[in-house]
Amino acid sequence: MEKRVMSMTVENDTATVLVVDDDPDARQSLEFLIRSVGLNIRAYPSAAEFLASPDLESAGCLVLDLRMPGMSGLELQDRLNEMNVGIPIILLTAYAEVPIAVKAMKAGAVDVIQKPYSQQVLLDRIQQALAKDRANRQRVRDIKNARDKLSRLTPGEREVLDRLRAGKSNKEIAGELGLTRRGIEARRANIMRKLEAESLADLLRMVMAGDGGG
Amino acid sequence: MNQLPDLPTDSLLRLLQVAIDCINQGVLITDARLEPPGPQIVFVNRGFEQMTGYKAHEVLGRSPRILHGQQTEFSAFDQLRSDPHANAGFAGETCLYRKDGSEFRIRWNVSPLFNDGGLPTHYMVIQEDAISTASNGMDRSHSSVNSIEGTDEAKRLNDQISRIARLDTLGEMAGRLAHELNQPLTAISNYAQGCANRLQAGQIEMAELTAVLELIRDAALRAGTIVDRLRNFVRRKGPQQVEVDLGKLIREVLARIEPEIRHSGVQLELVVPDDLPTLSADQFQIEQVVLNLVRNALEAMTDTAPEVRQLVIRINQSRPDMIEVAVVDRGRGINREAEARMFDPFFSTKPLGLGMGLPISRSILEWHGGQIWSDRKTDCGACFRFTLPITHGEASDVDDG
Repeated sequence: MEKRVMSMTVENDTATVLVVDDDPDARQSLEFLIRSVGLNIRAYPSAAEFLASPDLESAGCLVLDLRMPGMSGLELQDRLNEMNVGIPIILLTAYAEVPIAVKAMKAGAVDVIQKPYSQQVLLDRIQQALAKDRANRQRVRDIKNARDKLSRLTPGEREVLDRLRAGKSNKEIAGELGLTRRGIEARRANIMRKLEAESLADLLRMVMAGDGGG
Repeated sequence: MNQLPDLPTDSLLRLLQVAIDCINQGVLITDARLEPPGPQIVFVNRGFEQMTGYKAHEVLGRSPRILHGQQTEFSAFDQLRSDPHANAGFAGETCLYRKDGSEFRIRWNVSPLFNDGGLPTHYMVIQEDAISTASNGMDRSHSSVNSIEGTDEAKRLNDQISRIARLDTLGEMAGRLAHELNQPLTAISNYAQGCANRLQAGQIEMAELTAVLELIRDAALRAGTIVDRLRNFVRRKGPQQVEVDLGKLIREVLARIEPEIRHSGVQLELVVPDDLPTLSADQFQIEQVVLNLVRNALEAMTDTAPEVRQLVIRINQSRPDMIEVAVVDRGRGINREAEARMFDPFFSTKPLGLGMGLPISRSILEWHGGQIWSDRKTDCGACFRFTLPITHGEASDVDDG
């Protein structure tokens, strides 16, 4: 438990708001605004420059202007979807672009903010997007963690685990696998130890996470 | 006075641009702000670029002071300042500085450009290289002929500018204007909120605060330049004509800004005759006109006692072929000066007004064959009326020839 809190704090500090906007005024003023609430920010003048940057891997959220020369905000969103980059996206848009904004939402943008926007609204949405990114990344880590642990199980232990998931008792499992109840209990203890689970509920949650990632 | 060739606006503009670029003299136009920070450059021609070493984009929106220096003679300006309404303008010689800092002498001719109300909106400066005219044998007579032509040219250009300004401010421009203006306006509010956050947290130095305030000021000045630049925006596509039910259109506009209306505490009355015919018009543009008039009315009533804040919009078929819309408020009304100038671009009585609402509205209505005016007969508040002809079907040609 202690460990997880620590790792979240670290991530909070390195999460970065990434801004892609061709307008230098917008970039400079957003940098000032976003820094004023103590967040990290890096700004890029074009989609291409952002795509070529190491920030593609960064934790945080992406603030995009819908209308940009070259690759538009929407095209960048498509590219990121293709590349499986799941960073939450906030699109800034003008009034007349509402139908495009709807399309962006359907393609998974977390938010579309119409210009002129309230700065407080933007900052709130950025915080929400950062929280969503944090949750996404935690989920990915949980899945990976669970899979790593599951891979430590022997085939025999796996058989027991699958039956536990199906809600079967030790006695039923023993019957099905042709083993003694004591043998099942021993395997179950191994499973709990290897998966570092504290209870059956904890164990099942982990197994579900491991399956959840597909 | 020369007649303008009968061409579509965009061709006419291109022609004028080429003509002005071909002039062997530097042409510089500033707006007419005499109060600080003073006038800003809104147009320069190629001659100016060659003479000064500045590219147009480097000087637009900036003060002509960037050309001034130690040896610059300002007596001519004093003349102008003492009587800004003088028709004549002035001519003189002075020393200016190029982008690289080098000095050059010019003969200049400064002419005010007036609007229909007789107020100066811009100054046009025609610059001529003083050295090359002096080395030319017929320098004096030559240059005096030139300055007379310069003044004539100023008048003609002024006429052309007012005509073009009225023709080309239409829907696309309104959309573009909104988009382009959003950039500096957004920057301003970002900086301002950032300052507020930092001040609240007690962590901003005076020097940094000053720097950000300067950025805010620059962005505000840029917003002004965008409005100026867009006056010359050339329309590429005509308005989109559709069958419009004015009653429905106005109701929709009012619904869209319902929160604003509610917030302003204004009582609203919309009167629509039952048998109102539809007409062919550009819906977006007419919405803009209505939106603009309603917003003006709401803003005019902020000081009105809440119990009498009333806005009446009355539609009627004023003639068999004409629909008239009256927008009547109980606000502070319109004073004489504002009445004379309210349809001029960039004239505004509001502290944050751009002064584009009514000029754009007038352009839109004139394009549709309608009119807009304000009615002085009301005892308090303002009454704006606009008309639209009852026509049907597509306009045959959207170019205004």
